[in-house]
Amino acid sequence: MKSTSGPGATRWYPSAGSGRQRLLAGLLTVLVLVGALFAVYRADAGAVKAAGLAARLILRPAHDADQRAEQRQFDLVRDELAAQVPPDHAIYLDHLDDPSGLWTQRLIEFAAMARLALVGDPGQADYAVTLVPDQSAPQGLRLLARKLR
Amino acid sequence: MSWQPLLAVLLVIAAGYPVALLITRRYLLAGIVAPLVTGVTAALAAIAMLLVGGDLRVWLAALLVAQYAVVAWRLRRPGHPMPHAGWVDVLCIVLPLLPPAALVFSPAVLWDSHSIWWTHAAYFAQGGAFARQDMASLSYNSAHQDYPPLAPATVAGVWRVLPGYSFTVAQFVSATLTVSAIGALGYAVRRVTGRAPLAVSRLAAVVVALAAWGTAPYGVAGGYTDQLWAAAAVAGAALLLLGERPLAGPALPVLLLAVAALTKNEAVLPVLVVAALATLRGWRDLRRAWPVWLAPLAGVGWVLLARALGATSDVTVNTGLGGTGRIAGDKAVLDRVPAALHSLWSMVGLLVVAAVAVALLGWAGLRRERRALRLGSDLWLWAVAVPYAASLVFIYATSTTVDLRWYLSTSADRVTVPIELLAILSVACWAVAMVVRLRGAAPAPDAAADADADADADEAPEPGAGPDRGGEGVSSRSGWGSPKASAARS
Repeated sequence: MKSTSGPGATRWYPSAGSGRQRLLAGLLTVLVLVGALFAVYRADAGAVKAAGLAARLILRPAHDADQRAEQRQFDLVRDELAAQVPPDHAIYLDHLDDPSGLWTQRLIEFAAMARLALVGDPGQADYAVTLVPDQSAPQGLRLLARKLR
Repeated sequence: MSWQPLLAVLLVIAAGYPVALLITRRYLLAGIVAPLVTGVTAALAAIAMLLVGGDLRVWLAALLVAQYAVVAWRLRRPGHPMPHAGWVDVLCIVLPLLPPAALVFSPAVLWDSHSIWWTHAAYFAQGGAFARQDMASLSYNSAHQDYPPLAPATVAGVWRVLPGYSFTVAQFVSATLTVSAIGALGYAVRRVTGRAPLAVSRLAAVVVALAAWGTAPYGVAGGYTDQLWAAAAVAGAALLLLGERPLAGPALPVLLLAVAALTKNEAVLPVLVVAALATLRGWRDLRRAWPVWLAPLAGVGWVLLARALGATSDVTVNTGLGGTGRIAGDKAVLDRVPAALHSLWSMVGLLVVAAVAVALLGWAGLRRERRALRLGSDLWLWAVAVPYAASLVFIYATSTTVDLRWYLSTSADRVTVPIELLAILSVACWAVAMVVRLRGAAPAPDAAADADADADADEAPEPGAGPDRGGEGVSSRSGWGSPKASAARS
């Protein structure tokens, strides 16, 4: 291992080869490499974790069964909204039991996909939209739209 | 699974490929950069649609046709293939990204992807009038209507071609954009360390690129945009602040900075800082600096347009900025600073400490190797990271109407990714300098030439190319290992 990098090198340690100088150069090398390895460990752990999750996803698809059911439920409600309410009408979210806000936000999204306006006042709405229990649906929910005017 | 997601990915790559080829003059690298061109084009189409009205698909088609006409004219003229971008280089950078990117096959159910990005895509897909209405609607406040249009406009453009509003398609399109930006980051590192031994330069590129998954590994392929803008901004910063003669061919860094600025609002400040620092770094040739200001201009332009259309910003609403809120010296604000700092520390603190330690050691003993590698000063990177970190603390501290614990727990892991990338980029550059020192006085007689040796078959055709074909080629003829050349540069 060489401790210099070229003619005319100027460093914080002398460039000649005494034991103390070699020690300092070696210490610098070790510290930089240890610091770099630690930084790489901290920075790249997320990619390793993501690769592990992806492998589990492909090798054991059942592991994500709940999330797949959730996406199918999203697909179902999106399609039902588009099927039950014609485009360019206003909808009102009626009696939505939704403490987490999940379905309120999903219906906001699906309303845009169905080209519907969302209003907070039922007096301005053409349809009232709600979710009702239905055990045949992926997560037990089905959309119901009721014409108001 | 249907073929739609694969078709969507091909569509996003194909649409931007001609311009990417014009920029890179490399067939494979163009495939990496192409989705970013598509993204910027879709963002500009969305902006035109909001300003003028009409259908996103029409605007997108018009802009793409205009681009292709320019490409057809310009590709006939000689150009320089980008250096260090042979097929082996590109594969070395891209292949390690694929295992973590395979998370794209997970169900498309993440909260912000739906509530923000695909909601924006949905109203963009309905045309200018409908989108303007939803951007100003109180009902859509939870969707953060002021967020920039790049990712959702790209998804909307694909949905207009592949109908059905498939969430899986949206997730694949988002992931394609993000992985493209991460690949560009890897290439940026490969390029700025191009004078180092080949394997070391490639390893540095992969290490920095993989760090994009960082503290929020679910975000890259799950429909979020934080890693998209972070990777693009840091790639642009690397090329402009660490690379040789960055203003001589600014198309790629300008594209990368534009991607960042048009993807998320918090990118505007770092993009502005990078543009200012790049201008400062290239002060001897200021006439060439103007293109780098196009990116922050685009970001600021979007902020103004969103405001004009009635979209509200969560930052200003939460702080009372623009209202009667008092920021400076407010006890409620100051009380939130320690918690915000603690959260940032828990995400990237140890990494930043390690990076600063390596930088100080490098400054003490590796400056000459760094100069020989023609790497720009490490301080440039910290000059980007520090204001960005300060802006995060400012936003967390001043958003007094939001529960801080919830705010930090739902965002700190994602918004710290740029700091993480800048820190690991700094470490990677010093580590490369260290390896050069360990190899001794004479590195590969012509490291860059070696790097390009595998690349010739990958170059795009360039009629009339002169004898200096082979890219910027600064390194390929300089022989930096020779004592004479070394002394001259010192």
